[in-house]
Amino acid sequence: MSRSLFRGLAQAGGRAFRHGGGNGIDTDRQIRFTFDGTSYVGHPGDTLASALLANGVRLVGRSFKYHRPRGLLSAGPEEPNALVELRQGPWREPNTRATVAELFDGLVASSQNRWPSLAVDALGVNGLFSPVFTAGFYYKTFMWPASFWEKVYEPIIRRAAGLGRAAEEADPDRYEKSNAFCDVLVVGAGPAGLSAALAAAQSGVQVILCEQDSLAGGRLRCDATLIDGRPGWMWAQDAERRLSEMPNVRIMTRSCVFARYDGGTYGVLERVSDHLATPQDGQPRQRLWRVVAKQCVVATGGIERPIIFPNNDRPGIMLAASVRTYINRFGVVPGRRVIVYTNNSDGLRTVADLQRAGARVVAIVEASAHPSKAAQDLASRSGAKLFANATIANTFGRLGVTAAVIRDNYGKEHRLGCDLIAVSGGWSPDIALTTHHGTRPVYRDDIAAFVPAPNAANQDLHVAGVASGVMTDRDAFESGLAAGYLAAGKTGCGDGREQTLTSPSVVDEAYDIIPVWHGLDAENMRRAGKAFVDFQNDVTAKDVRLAAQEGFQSVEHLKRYTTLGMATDQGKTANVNALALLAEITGRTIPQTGTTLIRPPVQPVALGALAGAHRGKHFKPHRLPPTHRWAEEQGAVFTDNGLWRRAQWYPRAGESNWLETVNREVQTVRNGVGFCDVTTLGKIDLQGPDVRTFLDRLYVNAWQKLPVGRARYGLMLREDGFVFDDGTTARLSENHYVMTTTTAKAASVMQHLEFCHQCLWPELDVQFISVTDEWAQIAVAGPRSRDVIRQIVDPEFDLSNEAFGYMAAAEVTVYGGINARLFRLSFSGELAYEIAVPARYGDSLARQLMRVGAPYGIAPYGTEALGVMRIEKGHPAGPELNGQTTAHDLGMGRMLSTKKDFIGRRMAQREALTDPARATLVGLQPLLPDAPLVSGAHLLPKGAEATAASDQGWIASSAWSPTVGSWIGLGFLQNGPARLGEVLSVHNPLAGTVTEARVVSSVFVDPEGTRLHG
Amino acid sequence: MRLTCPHCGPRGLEEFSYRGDATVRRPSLEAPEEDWIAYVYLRDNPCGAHKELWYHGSGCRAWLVVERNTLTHAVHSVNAVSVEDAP
Amino acid sequence: MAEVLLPALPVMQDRVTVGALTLALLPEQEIVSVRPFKGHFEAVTDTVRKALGVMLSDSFQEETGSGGYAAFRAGHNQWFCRGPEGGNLTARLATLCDGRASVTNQTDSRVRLLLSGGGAAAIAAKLVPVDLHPSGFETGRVALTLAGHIPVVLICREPRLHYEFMVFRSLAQSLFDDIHIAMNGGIPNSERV
Ligand SMILES: [Zn+2]
Repeated sequence: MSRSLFRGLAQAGGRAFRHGGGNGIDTDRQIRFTFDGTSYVGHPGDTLASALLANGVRLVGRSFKYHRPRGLLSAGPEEPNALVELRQGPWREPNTRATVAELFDGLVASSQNRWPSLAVDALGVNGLFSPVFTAGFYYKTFMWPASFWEKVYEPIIRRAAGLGRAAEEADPDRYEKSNAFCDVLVVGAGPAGLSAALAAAQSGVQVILCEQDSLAGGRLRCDATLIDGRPGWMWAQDAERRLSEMPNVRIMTRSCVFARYDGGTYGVLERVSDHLATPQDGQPRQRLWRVVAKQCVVATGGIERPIIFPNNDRPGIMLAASVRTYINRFGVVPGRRVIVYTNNSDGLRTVADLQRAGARVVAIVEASAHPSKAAQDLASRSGAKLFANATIANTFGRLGVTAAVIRDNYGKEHRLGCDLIAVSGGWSPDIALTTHHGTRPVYRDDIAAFVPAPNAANQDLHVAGVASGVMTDRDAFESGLAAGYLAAGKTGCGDGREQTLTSPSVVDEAYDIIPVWHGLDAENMRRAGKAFVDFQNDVTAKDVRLAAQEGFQSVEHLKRYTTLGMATDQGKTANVNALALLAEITGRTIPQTGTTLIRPPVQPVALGALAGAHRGKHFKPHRLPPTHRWAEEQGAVFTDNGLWRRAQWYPRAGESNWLETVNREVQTVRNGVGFCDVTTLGKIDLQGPDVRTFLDRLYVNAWQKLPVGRARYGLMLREDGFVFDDGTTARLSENHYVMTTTTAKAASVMQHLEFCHQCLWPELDVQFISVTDEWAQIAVAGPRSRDVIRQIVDPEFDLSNEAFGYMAAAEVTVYGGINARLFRLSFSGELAYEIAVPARYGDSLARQLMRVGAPYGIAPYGTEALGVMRIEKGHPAGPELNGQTTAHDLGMGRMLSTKKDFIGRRMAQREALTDPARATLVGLQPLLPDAPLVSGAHLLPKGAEATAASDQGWIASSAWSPTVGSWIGLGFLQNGPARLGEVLSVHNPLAGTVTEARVVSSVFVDPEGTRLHG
Repeated sequence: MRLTCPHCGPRGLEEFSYRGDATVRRPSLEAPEEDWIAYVYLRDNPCGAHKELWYHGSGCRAWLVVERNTLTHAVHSVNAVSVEDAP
Repeated sequence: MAEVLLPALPVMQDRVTVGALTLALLPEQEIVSVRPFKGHFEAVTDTVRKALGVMLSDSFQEETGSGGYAAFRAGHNQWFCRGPEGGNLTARLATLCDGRASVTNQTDSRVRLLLSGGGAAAIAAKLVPVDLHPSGFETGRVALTLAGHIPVVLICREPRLHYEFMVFRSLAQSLFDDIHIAMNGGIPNSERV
C-alpha cells in the first residue's frame, strides 16, 4: 500500500479499519494526533496502537538489533515491539508502549530506532551482519582490546542498536508520592478481581482495587463473552459502579501495582495525566503510591504467548486475543485476510470475532494432532481452510505480512495470501507479583504454564482467576469471590456479614492446549529465516540453540548470554517459550529446566516518579537557622552543612572576591568584635540525679567535679576507640546540664545517648531531649565582645572577668527579662561568648547586635571565617574527626581518664591505637607564605619520591590565615610532635604539585591562650 | 519492610535505623581483650531467626529488640529495650 | 530600632490557600516536655492532672483539659504538655514536679501548621506514611512520624478535615513548602472527600 493511500485513509476519518463501535471507545467524538509527522484521527478511548491500526498503520517500529520492521504484537502492557516516542521537546518520552498510550487530542508520536525513515531504514543491513549479533555477541565480539570499548564498540552499538532518545532537557513534569492503607488490596479489575473486590467489600473491610488499564473489565472487554445474557463488559461496568458506591472501596484506575515488598507493602504507579495533553495546573504527571495492605488478592490475568516460527515478527502477525481486543474494545479489525494459528481452544474464539467484524479467515492452523470439533464448525461456517497438526513454516512481506506458508500434517506446504496472522501459543498466568518474595512458580502440564506455587498463596497473598491457573470465565468469577472472602476474613476486620454473592451465569468452554511451542524443524532451525523468541531484544530460536550448544544450559545463563527477557518488557511474551525451547534442545522437561524469578518493577517506572516531589531545590529539606532571613537581607552567601543552610560569608560592596571578605571577617573578630549564628550545633538538655555519671561514661574525661555555672570541653569515642564527636557541656544547676555536639553529628550523638541510656545503663536516672531548635545561639567573639554582650544582658548580671570568666555558663535574662543562656566559650581563641535566646528572638538578636556593636565595628562572620579561626587555633573539626583518628592522634591522649569506664576506653588502649608512630596532629606552614596548602595533600620527608612507602601523613584542613599572613594547615604526621621544625614535601597528586612546608605547633595564634582569658 | 513499634504501631522501615545483634553484651572493663574484640567487631550472620536492635529514631526514639527471620523477612516480635517503657 | 527583642515568624507566609484547602501557621502556644524520673511516674501524673486537668496517657491520644491545657505522649517516657501563651508553663511545671521529672521548654522548638479543608487527609497522606483513616486516626490522635523526610508530630483535629503538624522550627519552612506542593498536586481521583 502506498504512502499516499495511507494519507487518503487518514483523511477519511481513520475509519478504514474501524468496523464499528467498540466497547471502550466513543465514536461520536474525534481526536487528532500525528505519527511520524502524518496526521490521523482517532476516538476517545483509543490507544495510540488502536488508532494507528484503525488508520491502517501496521509498521510502527524497527527492532533493537536487526532493525527489522515491526508492528503491534499485542494490545496491552506486554507489548515488546511497538515502542514509540511520545510528545516533544523536554516532554519527549522514549520507549513508551503504543498499546498502553492513551490517545489525546494533539498527541505527537514518532517511531524510533530507524534512519532515515521507518519504511526505509539504512541500518536494516544489520540483518546481513547478523552473525555478529548472535547469542553472546557482547562477550565474543567486543572482548579485546578493552580500550576499544569506549572509543569504537560502544558508539557503534549505540547507533545501530538501541531504542528511543531521551529528552535533552530536564523533565518539566511534576511527580508526587502518596500513601494508602487498606485491609484488602485487589490487583486487577477483570472478572476475578472485580469479584474479589465485591466479596471483600461485602465483608465490610477496607478495599483498594487497582487496575492498570483506564477501564475495568480486563478480558471482559477483550472478548465477546456474554455474562448474565449481556456483553461481559456491561457486567464489569455494573460491578465497577456497585463498588464505587460502597464507602469502604477505593478504585484506582490507570494504576499499576508494580512491586510487592515486605510487610504487605506494594508499589503502585498511577498515571495521573499521561492521558491528557497537559496536566492540570500543579497536577502531577504520575503518582507513586505506597499501599500497605493486610491481605492481597492478585487477579492479574494472563499473558498470551506467541508461537515461534520463521519470520514470526512481521507487522501483521499478532497475538490472537489482542486481535479480539482491537475488534471488541476498539472496533478495529487489524486485517482483512486472516490466518488463525493456535495450539489451544481459546485461540479459536478469534475466528468468529473476525468474521463478525467483516474480515475473512482464510485458514485455521491447529497444532493439535486432530482437528477440534470447534475448529471444524468454525471452518465450515467461515469457509476457512482447516489445517490440523500443522505449522506456519514461513511468512513473507517486506513491511508487513502478505503471505504465509503452512506446512500441513503431511509435510506439504501451502502458500496463502494474508495481511494478518492471529497467533495463540496459550496463556501464561501473570504471576510476577507472586514471585517478588522469591517464591518459585510451579509448572502445570495440563495448561502448559507456570502457576503460583501453593505456598505463594500463604498468609497474605491470594491468587484468583487466570493468574492462578484457572482458565475459564466461570472459574475466574468463582475463584475471585472465594479469594475476596478469604482475604477479608483473614484480616479479622470484617463485620461478619453473610457471604451472599454468587457468580453470574456464563457459557464457558473448557480450555484445551497442546504444548506446541514452535513450528520449527531441524531444517528451518538452520535456515536463514529468523524465528523470534524475544522480540524486543531480537533473540531468536537459533540463539537459544547456540547458547545451549555452548554450554549455557541453565536458564539463568541462557538469559544473560542471549539477553533474553532482559529488555524493558522483561520477556513477558518470551520467557516461557524460551524455557520450553531450551528444555526441548537439552532433552529435559520444563520443570527440570527451571524458571527465572521476576523482579520488581513489573512495568517500567520513570525515575521521576521514584523521586516524586523531591527534586531541584526540594530534593531535601533545609534547616534554616533563626537568623537566616536576616542573613539573606545582608546578602550573605550560603552553604549547605548537612541539612543546615548556613551563611558562608557576608560580602560587602567593594570586596572583589570571597577571600577578601573572609579575611576582613577574621580580622574583625581578631581586632574588634564579630558574631556568628551557631544554632546549628546540636544542643541536648540533660536532667536527673545521674547525669554526671552518664557524662563520665560518655566522655573520655572526668565530669564528677564540674561545678554549677561552668562548662567543660568533652571528647567522645566510639566503642572501637576512635573519636566520635566533641563539644562542650555546661552545668546549669545541680542536676541540669546542656551538652553541645558538632553540627554534623547532632543526630548521631542523640541516637548514641539513647542507646547508652536504654540499652547499656538503664539504671541511670537521666532524661534528655534535643533543644537545638529551642535556642537561637550566637557566638559573639573578639576583644570587644564583652562590651557588646554587656548591652544585651540585663544589668543585674555581673559579666566581669572575675565573675564570669573563661568557661563560665549561666542562665541570664536579656532585654528586660527574656530568658537566655550565656556561655564564655571560644572557638576563635578570642574573648568570646555564646548567647542563647528563645529561637523566635534570634532574628531580632542579630539586628540588635548590629546596632549595639556598631560603635565597635561589629560585623557578622560566616562558616568560612569560623573555619579559618579554628584552624588558626588548632581546634579539630570535621576533617580531623573523620572517624579514623584517635584521641592520641589529636594530641588529646592524656585526656583519657584512667579512673572510670567510658565508651571506647578499652579499645582505645590497643597497642596500634596508641603507637607513638601514628600520624598525629601538627601544624604546617609553607616555606613560601603564598604557596597554598591543600587538604588531602600527602606529607613526605623532604625531597622524597611520591610513593606510598614514603607517605607519612596528610593535610586535613588548610586556610589562608590573615592573622599569620601565610597559608596554614592542620595535618596528621607520623611521630608528629617530635618533628617540630622539620621541613616536609607536600605532594598534591591531583594537581601534580610539590611544595615545602615546615612542621609547627597546631596552635598558630595566641598559643598561651591569653586572649580568650581576657 | 515494616515493624510494629510497641509504642507507635506499625511503621515503615524509613522511620527506623538498624544496629544489629541484640544479644551481645558490653563486657566489663576488666574482661579479656578477646571479649572486647568479640563485642565490638565479631557478629554472626545467621540464616533464620535473629534478634536485632532497631532504633525508632523518627518516631518515639525507643530502642527495640526485633526478632526477625533473615531468610523469610518475617518479623516475629518487637519489644522495647527499656523497662521504663513496659506498659 | 527599638531596644527590645521582637519575635519573628518561623515561616515566610502564615497562610496559603489552594482551592478548598488551607495551610496556616497556628499561633504560638507553650509546649513543655515532661519526662518522669524513676519511680515518679504516678506522682508526676498526679501533679499534671491536678495542675492542668489532663492525664499523661500511654496511648497516643491527646488529653485536653480546661483552660486550654492539653497533653499527649511525645515519645518513650515522654509527654508534651501545652497551654496558652504567656502562662509560664515550663516554670510552673518545673516547680510542681520538684525534681521528679525533667521539664524542658519546647515552645520555640516547635512550630505548628494546620492543614484544613475537604481532602486534607488526602494531602496529608502524600507526606505522612501513617494510616489516617478515621476509624484509627480520629480527633486527638497523635503520630510521631515523618512528613516526607521531615520529622513531625501529626495530630488529628478533625478526621478528614483538619490536621496539625508540629515540626522543628528550623524545618518549618521546608515543611510548609512541601505541604503547599502537595496541595497544588490536587486530590487524587480515587480519594473520597
Ligand atoms: Zn515508636
